Amino acid sequence: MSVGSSLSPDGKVLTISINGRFDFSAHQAFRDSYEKLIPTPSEIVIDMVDTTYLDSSALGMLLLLRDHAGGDTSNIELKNCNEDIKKILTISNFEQLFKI
Amino acid sequence: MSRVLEAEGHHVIQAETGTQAIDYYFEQSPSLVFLDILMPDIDGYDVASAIKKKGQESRWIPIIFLTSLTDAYDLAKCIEVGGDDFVSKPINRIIIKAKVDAFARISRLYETIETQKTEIQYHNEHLIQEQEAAKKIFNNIAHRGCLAAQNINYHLSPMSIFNGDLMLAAETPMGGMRLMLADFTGHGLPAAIGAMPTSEIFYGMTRKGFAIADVMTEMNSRLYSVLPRGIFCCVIIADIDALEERITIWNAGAPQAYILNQESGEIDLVHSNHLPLGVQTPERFKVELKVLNFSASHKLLAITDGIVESVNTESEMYGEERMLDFIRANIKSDNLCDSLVEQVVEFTGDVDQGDDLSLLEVGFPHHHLDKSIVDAEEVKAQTGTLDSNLSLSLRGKSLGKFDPIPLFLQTLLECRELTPHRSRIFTVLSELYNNALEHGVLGLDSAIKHDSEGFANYYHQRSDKLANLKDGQVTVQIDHRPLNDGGEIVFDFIDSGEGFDFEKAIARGSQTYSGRGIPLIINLCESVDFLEDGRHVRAVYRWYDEQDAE
Repeated sequence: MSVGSSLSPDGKVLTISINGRFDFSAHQAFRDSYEKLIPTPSEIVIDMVDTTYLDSSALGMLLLLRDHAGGDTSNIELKNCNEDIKKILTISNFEQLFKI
Repeated sequence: MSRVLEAEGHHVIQAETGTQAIDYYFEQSPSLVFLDILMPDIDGYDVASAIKKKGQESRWIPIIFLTSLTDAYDLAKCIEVGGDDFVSKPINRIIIKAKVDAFARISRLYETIETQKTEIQYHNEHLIQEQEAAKKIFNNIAHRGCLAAQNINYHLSPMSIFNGDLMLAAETPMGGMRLMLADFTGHGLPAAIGAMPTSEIFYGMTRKGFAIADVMTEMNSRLYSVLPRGIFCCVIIADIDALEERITIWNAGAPQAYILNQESGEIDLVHSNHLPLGVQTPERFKVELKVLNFSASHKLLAITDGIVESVNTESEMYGEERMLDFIRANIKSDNLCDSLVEQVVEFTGDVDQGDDLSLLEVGFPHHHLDKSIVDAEEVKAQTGTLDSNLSLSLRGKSLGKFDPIPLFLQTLLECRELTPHRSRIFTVLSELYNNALEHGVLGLDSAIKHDSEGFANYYHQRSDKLANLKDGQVTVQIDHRPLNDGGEIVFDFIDSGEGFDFEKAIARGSQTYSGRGIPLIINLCESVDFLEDGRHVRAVYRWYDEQDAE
C-alpha cells in the first residue's frame, strides 16, 4: 500500500492516488496528503486505478476527508474504481456524498 | 587480564576452577563472563552450558571464551555451547576493552527490551481485564432482548461488542418482533461506545410503539452528534408483523439481507438504500422501507460484512455469490445459521478472521399478544389517566409524517392499571388508525394484497399516496372512564374518506393476506360499531381490575 498525491499547478485540484489495499494502514499517509495544504484545494480527486480493495475504515477516512474539505460543500471525485470497490461504495450509498 | 579490567574501572571476581566459576556466577551475578576452555576440573564448554541452561531466564549475561586454541572446530564449539564470542590468547588490552564495551552496549539493549516486554505484558493483561469488565457493563446495557426466542438462530462472537457488532431483538407491543443487526466501523472501545445509545434507543422506543422510521431517525441524530466523523454504523432493522404476516425492513450500509421462502424457494434480496447511520445530517436523513410478505414459511437472514469478507489462504473473499449459492442449496434447512458459519470457517481454513462473524436468522414469530409485557422499571402514578378524554385531529401532511400511536399509548398507560393491557391496546389503536388512514383517507383496497407481488404493490401505493397527501383528516377521540370493577376505553376514529364496506371486508378477510385486523379488533373489544358508512369506527375496550383479569 502506498499513497501518492499531486497538486495541479494552480493549486486548485489535488489528486490522491492509492496503491494496493486501501485500509487502516493507509490512515496516516492519507491524512498527510491533504491535511497540511493551505488553502484546502477546491477540488479533490481520489484516483483508485491501482487500488485493489477498500474496507470500512477507508470509508471512514473518506468521510474525514469530506469533512475537512467542507462537508456538504466539498467537491470530491472518486475515479477509476474497480467493480469490488464500486460495490462497497454502493452498499454504503457513498454516491450521495461523492462523485463516483 | 584482571589488571586490564580493573584498570578500566570494572570489579573482577576470579575463579580457579570450573566448579568455582559456576558457584561464583550464581552467588555474585556478574555482568560479563570470561572463560578459559582448559581448566583443572570441568572445562569451559561445560561451565558455559551449565550457566546458560540455568541462569539466564531473566537476564542475558554474555560469555566470552579466552582461548589459545586455533582450530576452527574448537572455536565454533564455543558458540555452540552457549558462548557469545571468543578472544584468542595472548590477550590484547585494546581488544579486551573493545569487547567489554561492545557487550555492555548489547546488554543494555537486552535490558531495555526486557523492561519493555514486561511493560507490554502488564498493559496487555490490564487491557484484557478492562475489556472483560467493560463487556459485562455493555451486556447489561446493550442486552440482547429476546434473541433467545425459538424463531431465532444467531451467531455472534463473545467479544463481538469490541468488533463493533451489535444484535438486538425485542417483542413489539403489537405482538410482533423487531430485530436489528448493527456494525460499527472500527474496533475496540470506540466501536463499543456507540452501542450504548443505539441499544437504549432501540429498546426504549420499541417498547413505546414507535415505528422503524422514527427509531432510525432518532438513532441517526444521536449517532451523528456523538460519533466522530469516520466512525459510523451500518444497520439492518426489521419488524415482523405476525398478524399481517409481513416484514418491514430497512438496510443502511449493510450487505444485502435475504428473505427466503422455504416452500417456493424464492429469495428476495434487501439491498442497502441509504448511507450508514451517523453519516448523514438529521435534516437529510430519510428512511425508505421495504415491505414484504412474511409467513410461517419465510425466513430472514442478515449478516455483517465479516461473513462476506472472510478470506481463505489464497486471499479470496467468501463473497455474496458463494453465500447465495449456499443458501439456495440449503434453503429448507431449519438452522442455516450454524451450517453457514461452519461453511465459512471451512472456507477460510487457517486464516484468522479476527472473530467477527455475525449472522442472524429469524423465522416467523409466535403472535404473543396474550402475554403482557410488564415493565418492572416503569414507575407510574396509580390511576393516572383513568378518567380522561383525549382527542387529536391529523390533517394532510401530518398524516404522512407523524405517527400518533406512541403518543396515545403513552398517555393511556399513565394509568398504571393498564400496564398488563399494553399489547392489546396498542393493537386496537394501530389497527383502527391504519384502517382510517389506509382504507379511509387513502382509499386503498386491501384486496390488492392477494399475493406477494400485490402485497408489495399495496405498500408502494400507500407511501406514494401519503407523500402526495394534501387534504384528508383523521380524528381520534379516546375516552377513558372508571367503572366499579375496572374501566372502559371508548375509541372513536373518524376519517374524511369515502367510507368502507366492512361486512364485505370481514367476509373476505380470511381468504387473503389482508383483513385480519378487523376480526382481531372485534375479538379484543367488547363492541365495535361501524357508523356513517364506515367513516366512523367506535370500539369499546373493557378492562377489569387485576384480581378479575384472566
